[in-house]
Amino acid sequence: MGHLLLTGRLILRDLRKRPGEAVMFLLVVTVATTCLTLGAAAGNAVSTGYAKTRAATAGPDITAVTTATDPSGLARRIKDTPGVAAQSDPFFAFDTTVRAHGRTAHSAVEGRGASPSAVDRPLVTSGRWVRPGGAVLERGFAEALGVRVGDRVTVGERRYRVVGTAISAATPVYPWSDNAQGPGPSDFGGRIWLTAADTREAAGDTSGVHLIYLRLTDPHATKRWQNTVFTPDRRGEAWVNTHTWQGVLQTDTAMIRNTRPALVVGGWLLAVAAVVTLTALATVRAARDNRRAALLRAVGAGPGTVTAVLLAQYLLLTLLATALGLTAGTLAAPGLVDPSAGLLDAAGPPDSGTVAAAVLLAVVVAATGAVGPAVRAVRTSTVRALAGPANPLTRHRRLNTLTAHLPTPLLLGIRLLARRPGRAVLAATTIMVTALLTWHAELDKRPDFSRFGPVEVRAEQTGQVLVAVTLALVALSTLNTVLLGWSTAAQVRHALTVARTLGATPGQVVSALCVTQLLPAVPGLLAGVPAGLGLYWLFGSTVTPPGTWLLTAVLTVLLAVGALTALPAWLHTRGPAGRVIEAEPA
Amino acid sequence: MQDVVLALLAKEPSHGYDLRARLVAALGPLGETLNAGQIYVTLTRLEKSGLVVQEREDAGMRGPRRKVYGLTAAGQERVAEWMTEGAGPRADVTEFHLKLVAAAESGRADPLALVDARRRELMRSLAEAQQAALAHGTDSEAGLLLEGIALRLQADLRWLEACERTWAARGKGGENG
Amino acid sequence: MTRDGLRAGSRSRRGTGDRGAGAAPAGRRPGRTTGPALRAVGLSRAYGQDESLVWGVDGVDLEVPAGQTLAVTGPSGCGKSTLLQLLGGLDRPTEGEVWLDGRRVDDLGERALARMRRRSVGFVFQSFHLMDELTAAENVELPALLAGVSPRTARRRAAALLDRVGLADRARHLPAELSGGQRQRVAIARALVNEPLVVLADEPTGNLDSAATHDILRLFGELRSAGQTLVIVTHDERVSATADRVVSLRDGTLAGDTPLPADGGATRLGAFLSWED
Repeated sequence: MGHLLLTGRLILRDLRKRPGEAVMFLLVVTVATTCLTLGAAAGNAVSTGYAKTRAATAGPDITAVTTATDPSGLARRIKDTPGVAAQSDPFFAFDTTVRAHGRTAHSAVEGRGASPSAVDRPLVTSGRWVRPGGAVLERGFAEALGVRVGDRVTVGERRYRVVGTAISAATPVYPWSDNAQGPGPSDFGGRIWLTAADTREAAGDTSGVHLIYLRLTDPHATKRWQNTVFTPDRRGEAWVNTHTWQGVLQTDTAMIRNTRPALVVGGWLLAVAAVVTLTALATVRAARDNRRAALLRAVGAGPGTVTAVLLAQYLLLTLLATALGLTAGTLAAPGLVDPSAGLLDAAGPPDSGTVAAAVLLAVVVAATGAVGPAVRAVRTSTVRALAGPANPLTRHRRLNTLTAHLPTPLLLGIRLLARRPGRAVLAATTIMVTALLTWHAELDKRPDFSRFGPVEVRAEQTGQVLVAVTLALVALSTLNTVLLGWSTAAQVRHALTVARTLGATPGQVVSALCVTQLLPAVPGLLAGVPAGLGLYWLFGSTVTPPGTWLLTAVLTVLLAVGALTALPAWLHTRGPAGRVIEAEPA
Repeated sequence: MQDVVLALLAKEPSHGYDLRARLVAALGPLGETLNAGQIYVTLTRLEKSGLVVQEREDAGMRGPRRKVYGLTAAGQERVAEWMTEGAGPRADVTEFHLKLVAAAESGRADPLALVDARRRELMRSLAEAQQAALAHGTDSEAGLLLEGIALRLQADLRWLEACERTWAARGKGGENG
Repeated sequence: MTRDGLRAGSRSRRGTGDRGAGAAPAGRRPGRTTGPALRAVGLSRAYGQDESLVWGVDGVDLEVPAGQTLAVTGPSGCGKSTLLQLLGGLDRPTEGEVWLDGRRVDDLGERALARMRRRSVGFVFQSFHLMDELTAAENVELPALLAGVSPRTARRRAAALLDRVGLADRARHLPAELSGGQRQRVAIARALVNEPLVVLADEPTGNLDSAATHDILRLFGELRSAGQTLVIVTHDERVSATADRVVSLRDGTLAGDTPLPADGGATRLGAFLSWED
C-alpha cells in the first residue's frame, strides 16, 4: 500500500512538473500503435464491412448472369437445382455509358421493381428506391461521379432524376461493380438501378443481360455448387456466368492491397522512430532518474521498488497509449478500407491478433526507452549516483595532447564535450530518414495507379496514407533532433559555464559545442545510411533510392543538428555565466 | 563581578535582592550557585572603595529591610571606563556576556558596538594566531598550541555572531515596545 | 517600477542595515598599478520583480588596492558570493559600476568580458569546478590555451604552477584521483596560469578538512607575499584572519571593514600565557 502511494505520488508530481515529456511519450507510442493497428485492422475491416452489408441487403451467395433473351427457362432450372434456398426474379440489366455533371462513366443499369426482391435488396442510404423516371445510384459510384439526390444522370439518350443512393453486396464496390457485362474481358464500371420499364426503355436496342440472385442452403459451398451441382445441362444453351460472394469479397479486399503495405511498413518504421525518440527522451531523463533511484535507495527502497517507481509512469503511459492507438486505428480503419463508400461502416472491435501485436509493439517501445535507464539507475552504486553525473567519463588522453595545437573551439570541444552521447540518436535518425527515402523510391517504381483512370480514387488513397506516414516520420525525426540538441545543451551547460569563467568567449563556446556535436555526427550519419537501407529491406523490398536523395538527407540532418545545437548554446551565452555555476552541483 | 554589579546599578539604585535576581536571569543555570551573601559582600567592598553608597533602606514585603545602593561619581566613572576597555583575547564567555547584559541594562553602551569592537579585537588576535600557526605547521608542539588558540578564537568569533543577532533583534524589539 | 523607484526602495531599506563601513585603507604593498586593482561603486544586484524584488547586493562601495588580500565575510545568504560574481564579471549588476585596473568592466559585452576574465581574473570555487576528463596539468593549461598562449608555453607554465602548489608529481592525474585539497590546489594553479590581476576565490576551503585548509591558506599566504591581489569570500574566520583586511556583508550591504595586522608580530598571543600563578 505504501509503495503504491509513493509511486502514485511520484507519478503525479512528475506529470505535473513535466507534462511535456509525458505528452511526447504518449504521442509517440500512440502514433506507432495506431499505424500498426490500421495496418492489421484493414484486412479485417473489409471482411466485417462486407459481411455487415451482405446481411443488411440479403446479399446473394451466387449471381447468375445470362445473355438469354428469355431467362425464365434458366430461372426454372435453377429453381430445380439442389442446394438453392432462395432466388430472385431475373432482372434485366445492360451495360452502357452514363453522364452526369459533364462526366461520363461506364455503368451497369439494372431494372428493378418497386417491391423488394427475395435476394439482393439494395439498402437505400439516402433518398428513396426507384420509381418511374427516378434512378438510384450505387453509393460509391455516386460519390465518384459527384452525384447527389436531386441531380440528373443521362442514361442513353434519356435523363433521369437521381432519387436515391444505395449499397449492395451483390457486386464489388466501385469501380468493380458493373455486373451487366456479357462475355469477354470485364471493364471497370458503376451500378445504377431504374424501374424495369425505364430500363427497357433506356436500353433501346441494346441486348443486355438478365441477372438472377441466389441464396444457397450452404453459403460456403459456392464453389462446389458452381462446379458440380450447377452442371452445364442445367445452365442451358445460352451463355451463363456465375459470381460467388467470396469472389466479391476478394475483389474488395484486393482494393486495399496497395494501402496496406504503406500502413504496415509505415507502422514499423514509425515504431522504430518512436524507440529512437524515447531513447533521446531517456538521455534527457537519465541524470534525474539516476539521482531519484539513488535517493530512494538511500532512504531504504529495494531494487524492486526503485524499478517500479521509475517504470510505473511509463508503463501507465504505455497502456494508455496502446489503448488510444488501438481505438484510433480501429476507428480510422473503415475510412481507409472502403474508400468508395460501397460498404457499411465496419468499426468492430479489433481482433485478438491486432491487440497482441499492438501491445507487443508498445511494450517493446516503452521497454527500450524506459527499462534500460531504470535498470542502469538501479545498478549504479547509490553513493556514486548521489555524488556523480549520470554519464560515465571516457578519456581521450592522446586526443587531449593533440588538441593543444588546435584552434580554441576544437580544443574546447574535444577536451570538454566529446564524451557526450548523441551519436546513437543521430545515427538512428539517419536510419529513419534513409528508410523513408527508400520507401518512397520503391513506391515511385510501382506501376502508376492513375493510368487506370477510374481507379484514381485508389491512388489518391494510397498517396494520402503515404503523405501521412511520411509526415509522421519526419515529425518524429525532427523531434529526435530537437531532443538531442536539448539534452546536449543540458548536459554541457556546466562545462560551458566553467569554460566561460576561464575566459572562453561566447563565440568560442558555441562553435566548440557545434564541433563536438557535428564531428561525431559524421560517422553516425554515414553508418545510418546503410543501416537505414538494411532496415527497410527487412520490411519492404530491396530498392535503393538515388544517391542525391541520400546526400541531401545527410546534409539536411547535419545542418539541422548544427542549428539545434548552436541555438541553446547561443542562448546560454547571452546571459552572464554566474547563475549557472552556482545552481549546478559539483 | 564588581564591574558587573556596578554597571547594573548605573541605570537606577537597587538592592542586593534585585541585583541577584537580574544576574540569575542573565546567567541561567550558572546563576544557581550565586547566593545573596556573595552579592552583599561585593556591595560592601564597592562601598568601601567609594564606588557605591547606600542611599536608603526600603521596607520589604516580608522579611528584613533592604539596603538600596546607588553609584557615586567615582562609580559612574568606573562604569564608563569598564564599558570602553577591551576584555583581552582570553576573556571568557560569561564575563563578556554579563558585560553585554549590563551595557544594555544600564544604557551606558550599545551592546552591538561592544560586539563589534570585540570582534575586531578577536579578529586581530586570530590573524596573529593563524599566521603563526601557518608558519609553524600543526606537527610541531608550537603549531599544536597555536592551532588550539586559533580554534578557540574562532569559537569566540562565532559566538559573537550569535550575540550580534540576538542583541540586534532585542534592540529593535526595545524600540518598538 | 522604474530603476529610480527601485533605488529609492533599496535606499530606505539600507538605512537600517548600514552601520557605517569604514573607508578603505590604502594598500600596504606596492602593486602593479597605481590605482586600486578593483573598485566597486554603488554596486547592486536585484533578483525578482516588483513585489518580490530582492537585493542580493545593495549599494556596495569597495576598493581593493593592488596587492591586498581582502576577505569578504558574512552569514550565508548575505550576498557575498553574488558580490564576487559581480566583481569577476560572471554576473551583471542591476546598478553601479565595477572598475578593474582603472577600466570600467560592468558595461562590457559578453565577448569583451570573456577576454577580460581570461587576462585579468582568476576564479577559485568552493566545489573546484575542474574538468573531470582532463588531467591536472591539462586543467591548468586550459585558460592559457584559451588566451592564445602557445601550447609549449602553456605546458611550461602549468608544470611550474603545479610545482608551486606542490603537485608536480600529480600532473597526469585526473581530478577524480586527487583529494579535495589537491583538487583545490590544481584549481588555484589554474586561476594563476594567466597571471591575473586579481584572483577571486568563493569559499575556497568550504569543502576541505582542516589539514587541506592549512595547505590552501599557506598557498594564499605565499600569493599575498608575492603581491597578488586576492579577494576571498568565506564564512570561515580562520580563513579571513589570513587576509590584510576583512569586510563583512549583511543583507547585501557592507557592515564592517577591519584591517588586520601584518604577519610577523605575535603581540596579542602573549595574553594566552598567564605566568603569575
